[in-house]
Amino acid sequence: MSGPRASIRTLSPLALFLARRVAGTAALLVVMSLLIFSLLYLEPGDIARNLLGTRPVSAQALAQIRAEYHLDQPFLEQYWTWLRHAVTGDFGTSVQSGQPVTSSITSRLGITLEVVGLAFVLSVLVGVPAGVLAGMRRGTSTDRTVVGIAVVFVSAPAFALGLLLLYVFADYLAWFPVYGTGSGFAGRLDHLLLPAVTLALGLGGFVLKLTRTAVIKEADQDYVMFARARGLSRVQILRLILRNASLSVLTSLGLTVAYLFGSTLLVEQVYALPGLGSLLDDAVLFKDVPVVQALTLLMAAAIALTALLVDLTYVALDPRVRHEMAGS
Amino acid sequence: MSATTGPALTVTDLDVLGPHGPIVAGVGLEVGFGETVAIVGESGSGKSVTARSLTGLLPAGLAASGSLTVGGVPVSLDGAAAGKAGRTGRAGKAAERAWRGIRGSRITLLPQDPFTSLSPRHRCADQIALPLQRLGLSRAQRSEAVLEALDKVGLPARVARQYPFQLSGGMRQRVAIAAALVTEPDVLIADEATTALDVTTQREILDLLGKLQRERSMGLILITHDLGLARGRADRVTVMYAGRIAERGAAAQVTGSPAHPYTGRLLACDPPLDVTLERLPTIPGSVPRLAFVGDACAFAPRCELATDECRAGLPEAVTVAPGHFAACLHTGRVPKPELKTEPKPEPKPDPQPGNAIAPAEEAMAATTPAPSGASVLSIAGLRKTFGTHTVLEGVDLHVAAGESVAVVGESGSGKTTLARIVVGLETADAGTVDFGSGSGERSRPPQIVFQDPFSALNPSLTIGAALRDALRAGGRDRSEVGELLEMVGLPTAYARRRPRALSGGERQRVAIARALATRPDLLVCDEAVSSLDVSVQAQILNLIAELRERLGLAVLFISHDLAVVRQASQRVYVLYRGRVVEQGETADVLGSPRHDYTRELMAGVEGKGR
Amino acid sequence: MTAPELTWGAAAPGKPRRARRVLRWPGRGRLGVTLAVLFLVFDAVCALLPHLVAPNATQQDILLGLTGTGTPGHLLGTDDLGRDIVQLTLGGTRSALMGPLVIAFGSMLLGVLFGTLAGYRGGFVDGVVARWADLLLALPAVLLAVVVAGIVGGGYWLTVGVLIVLFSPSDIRLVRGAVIEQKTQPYIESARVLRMPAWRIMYRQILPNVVPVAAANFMLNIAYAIVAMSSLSYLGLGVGPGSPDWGRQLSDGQDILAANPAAIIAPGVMIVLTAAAVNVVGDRLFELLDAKAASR
Repeated sequence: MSGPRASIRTLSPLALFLARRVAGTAALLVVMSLLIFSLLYLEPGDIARNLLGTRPVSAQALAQIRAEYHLDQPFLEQYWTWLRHAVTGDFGTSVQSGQPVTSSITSRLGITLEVVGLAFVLSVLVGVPAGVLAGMRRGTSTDRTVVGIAVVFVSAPAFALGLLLLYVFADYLAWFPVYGTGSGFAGRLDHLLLPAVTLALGLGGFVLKLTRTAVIKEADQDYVMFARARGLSRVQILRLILRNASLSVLTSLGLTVAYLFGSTLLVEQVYALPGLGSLLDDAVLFKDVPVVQALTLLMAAAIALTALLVDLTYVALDPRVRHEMAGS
Repeated sequence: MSATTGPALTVTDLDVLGPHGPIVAGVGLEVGFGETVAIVGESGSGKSVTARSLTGLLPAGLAASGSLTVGGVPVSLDGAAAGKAGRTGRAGKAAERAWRGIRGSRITLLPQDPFTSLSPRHRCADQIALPLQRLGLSRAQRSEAVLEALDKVGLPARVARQYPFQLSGGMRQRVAIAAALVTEPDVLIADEATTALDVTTQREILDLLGKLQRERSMGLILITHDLGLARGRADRVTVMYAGRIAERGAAAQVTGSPAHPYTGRLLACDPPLDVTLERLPTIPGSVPRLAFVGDACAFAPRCELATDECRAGLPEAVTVAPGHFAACLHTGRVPKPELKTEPKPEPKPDPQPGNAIAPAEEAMAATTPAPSGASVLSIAGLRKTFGTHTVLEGVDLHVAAGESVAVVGESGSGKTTLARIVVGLETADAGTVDFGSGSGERSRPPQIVFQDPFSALNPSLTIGAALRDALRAGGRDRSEVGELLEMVGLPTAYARRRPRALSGGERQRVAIARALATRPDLLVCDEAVSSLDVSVQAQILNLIAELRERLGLAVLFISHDLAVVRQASQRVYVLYRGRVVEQGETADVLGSPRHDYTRELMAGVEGKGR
Repeated sequence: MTAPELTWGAAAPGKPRRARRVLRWPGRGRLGVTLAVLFLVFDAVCALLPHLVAPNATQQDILLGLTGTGTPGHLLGTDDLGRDIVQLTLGGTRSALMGPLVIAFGSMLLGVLFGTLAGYRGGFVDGVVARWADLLLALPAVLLAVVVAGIVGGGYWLTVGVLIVLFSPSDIRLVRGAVIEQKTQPYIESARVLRMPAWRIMYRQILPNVVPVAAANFMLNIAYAIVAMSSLSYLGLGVGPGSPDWGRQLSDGQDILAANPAAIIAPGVMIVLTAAAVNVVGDRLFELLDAKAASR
């Protein structure tokens, strides 16, 4: 038994960190998947009937469902079967549409990724510079104005903001189409821009606030005072601050993935976009458990993997951590 | 560098106004090329604010006025209230722009703490080279300049590629000095630049600053709380008190024959290293805020010589000798600093065990037997590791009832860990810690007083509540709060106050009262006076000595300060890298140190070798 | 004794400064904070006295049906059931605020309880609490609440309960961090050396310094809970159809956007302003805490 113990000790701190972090993520996902699987049992009523949905109930149909979901087997065994299939991309059949869950997800994935991606880019492009500006001018009217606007957008629910934007820009001003996805690149951008902006307003406010906090924290450090005492230019000092602030901004950006998933749920409903968010809304309202399971597991995995990625980037970018990890 | 004829820096009528009134008033200063001037003062003297205003780096909310000339160039102090870059309007921006032309090339401020003054995520070379970019040097020229700068401060070339976190405190301060001097300023202000460092490193850095200053015939302003340091390192000394200049003159004159009573008292308070005094001279009270002083001598309330005239108006600067001024009406009556030679009769508690043991190896072998009297602390073979790092190894230590014992060492010596183990905040990996059977009664666990008076007391509890809790924990009656306060020299009315309303020395008194609430046999003082001003430090040391006598208390002093150790202990253990390298009676060990490390420590003490 | 009679004169002048600080409470940028506080007072009046502010919130006028803004007697018109938009919106304040208040309070209690335990005890308790928090933070709270409320069902208060559990990790983390910071303070270590019982140290020495942090976060949590609760009712998972509710109004109003835009603008603006106002006050509380910590 001395084998694994000895080998753990000989691993470099970096490998140890990696192993621990990956194992932690995996464990989290396993527990998450177990909870997600038990949704099937949390829904009131008979499982087989629930899974049958609106299809005609017959003894044969029920038996088929029971066989398909291995409902006669013990709970853990059912879970294991479900997980094994899930890992290969098979989440069963949608109760509502009768289609394989995976195909309804893949057909709607594109829209959501486009909206979310566009929103992320917009919010970083606007939020980071505005946050740096506010942080460097702390206490001025510029700062207060920028932060005031950010607070409104951060605290506003995405759907309320979306509806107000929808009314003003699509209905009242008629600059954008009201609903739908459009065709062709220009048409698509035209249709997706307003939903993306809706998401980006809240996210951008969030990014702005955390950038501002990080910049202010660094601007208060002694090294900034010393840099000024040596007569460095504003730009040089800003670059000192940004290098140091960038890492904590980067880490916080990882958190925005969860925020985006939560908000897209509502924004797609507002703009009637056929993405994953509205798929989840429909599935929840229809109690289409297989679809709900698949979507929540995918989102949990996406969020956990982003967090992992951010941690690894941090190790790669921070000389201090890198130095410790190298074990010298 | 510009004309070397005039002074490097002249400032006259410097006033700094804060949100709650004036902070600095009427300060004038002249520093010649190649000259070192020390600004000495306790906390609240305005010395750091003065340093900041000379570089236009005042914190937001503070505004300076007066006239400043650096390297022959007049600089506008008005509007230098700019504070943080861009925090104020157009005037602030213009001032900031003007300052950028001055800072670096004419004057540079070296901050106190080398652990925070460098950017943690930039290589040392980049940080040093930054100002050169503006001078239009090419990349190759810059890296050459960096290597030259590193060489000048005695660092190897490899440091260029390293990050600050890979360097020790002393090395970081060298990098900071290299960074500060790469633009060849006319004047360098070092704001307590060695206070955060160990004694031995401190000396090296001061030597380095002196050498560089002479080489470049640069003006050097040392901001310090330490008159001893000023005496040894400066040509001229300016003593500040409550935002005004009390005295200024040649270093030897000011420290040898002080003309201001404050300077005289301050010199007297500084504990000597060569003798143990029965009582340390003190200055009663503490430094007032300038805003509350008005048109009077700020020192008058604490001055023995004060008369009604002192309280009636601001004393003019009097010329005592050529180039030696003091703002006092009674300059002639200030006593010369007495030679502190009357030794204190050493009250030896018990027949003492064997004295100093010379080399480190033997120190481990010869285990000192416990003092034959009742023991309140007896440590044997103590070992403590954090991860792979061994902090303490084979430490034996004994404290007899009523005895005062010091543990002296620099940062990293393990002395704080030792203190924490004694009071039970850490557990040892090996060895025994025994509190002895004591004086027959049940022994009470030792208590501790920490270094920082500002975090010593819970901000959400009144003094009375904190002491009542402590009494309760010790199984004593809660009504004894008044007694406890009186015992440490505070009025009973203080029970209703919050820590915020107390000065540092007063907080430390409360911390002592709280520790004594359980009537312990042993009090551990972990650098308990290190954060205090010299005059307050002397008050607290006297208080502890008095309490020891009155209560029969044993004290374990943990300190880096040999002078404090000399005054406060009968026996001393010298700790170096987790091991006791020398021990014995304090007078013997400090009088004739045998271990190299102890000698090195003694040599590092600034300006006490009278 | 070292002439103590001179030491008390030097004490920092505490009282006048504190008084001034309270008077200038909002401090710089006071306009935003003042407006936010005023708006919250207005909200509170609507929520506490709905029968005075909006006595006819649920009164339907089927005959009148859907009307636009400026209809006589209906300043912002009516919805498709003939309900007055102004009345409906003001009447919805109570359900918009009550749940979030309960959620933020419950989450704060859980946060203080488990955060203090985990932070002070460390070790196993800390590990369990940290893992639990990780799990709950692995998915956005709104999404989890939608799934649980949708699949399991249950009404307003079950949703509130679920959100309390989902919100608590952020409070636990915050309080835990504050407790860990407190734990290394010399005054806490002194209390440990004095052998004070652990519960007494937590209750008397640590808690008073931690509660302000939790209280400031309480305000921010209200803002998030307003978002979460109204999102749920927008998706049709919150309150029943009978009672007035902003999220539900927005969902219903979307269908009559063209006929009466006020049906979504009024509740939309109310949600945005209420959440923003709570957020502004919460931010300000955190700022004051920082300033207080710095002035110590």
